[in-house]
Amino acid sequence: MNDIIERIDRKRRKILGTYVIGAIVFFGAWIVRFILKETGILTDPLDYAIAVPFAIGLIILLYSFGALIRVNKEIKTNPALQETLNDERLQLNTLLAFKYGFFAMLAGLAFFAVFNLFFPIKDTRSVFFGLLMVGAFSYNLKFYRLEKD
Amino acid sequence: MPRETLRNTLKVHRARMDWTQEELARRVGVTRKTINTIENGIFVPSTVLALKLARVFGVRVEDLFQLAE
Repeated sequence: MNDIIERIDRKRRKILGTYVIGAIVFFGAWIVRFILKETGILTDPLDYAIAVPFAIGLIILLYSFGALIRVNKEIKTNPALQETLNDERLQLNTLLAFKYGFFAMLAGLAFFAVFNLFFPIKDTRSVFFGLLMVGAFSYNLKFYRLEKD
Repeated sequence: MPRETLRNTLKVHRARMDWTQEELARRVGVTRKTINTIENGIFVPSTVLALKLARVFGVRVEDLFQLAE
């Protein structure tokens, strides 16, 4: 049983690390494209160049997300496993990461508000999408860092 | 107000019982990482977990955890 717990715990951390890398690449490409587009300096070659890391990030994200779902399913099949792998340290880290994600979303909102002062945002749908990404990815990034320490 | 830190003698008691972190984790129903972070003072356990730890070692909670002077 101990071996299974240790194996799943390590596997979960590893997948989370991959997810964070994917999220950084994906979001990095997205925010660069957003800024270039809104400031009017996005050219076709630049757009194609940004599409590469964007696609790579998306593939990594989807792959690790699927792997995380599979691990969580494995945990849910065994109540003893579920209790141990979701112990109080993990619950606290989840809470701290959620708080971090929330404040990151507020910071993102401030960023878009200031950006809008200098370059009025035309694509408002992207702002909502961007804020959701900031919140979700910041949550995962913080959670990964807490779990890694 | 200075932030108080919690010292613990978990490692000492674990060595006395000849238990690994994994063994102790199994006995109290947490992950090895949780035991590791408690031992290193990164994570402060709840009262329930502190009582469980004291129970498996057969000592009082005060013997396991002390406020640093």
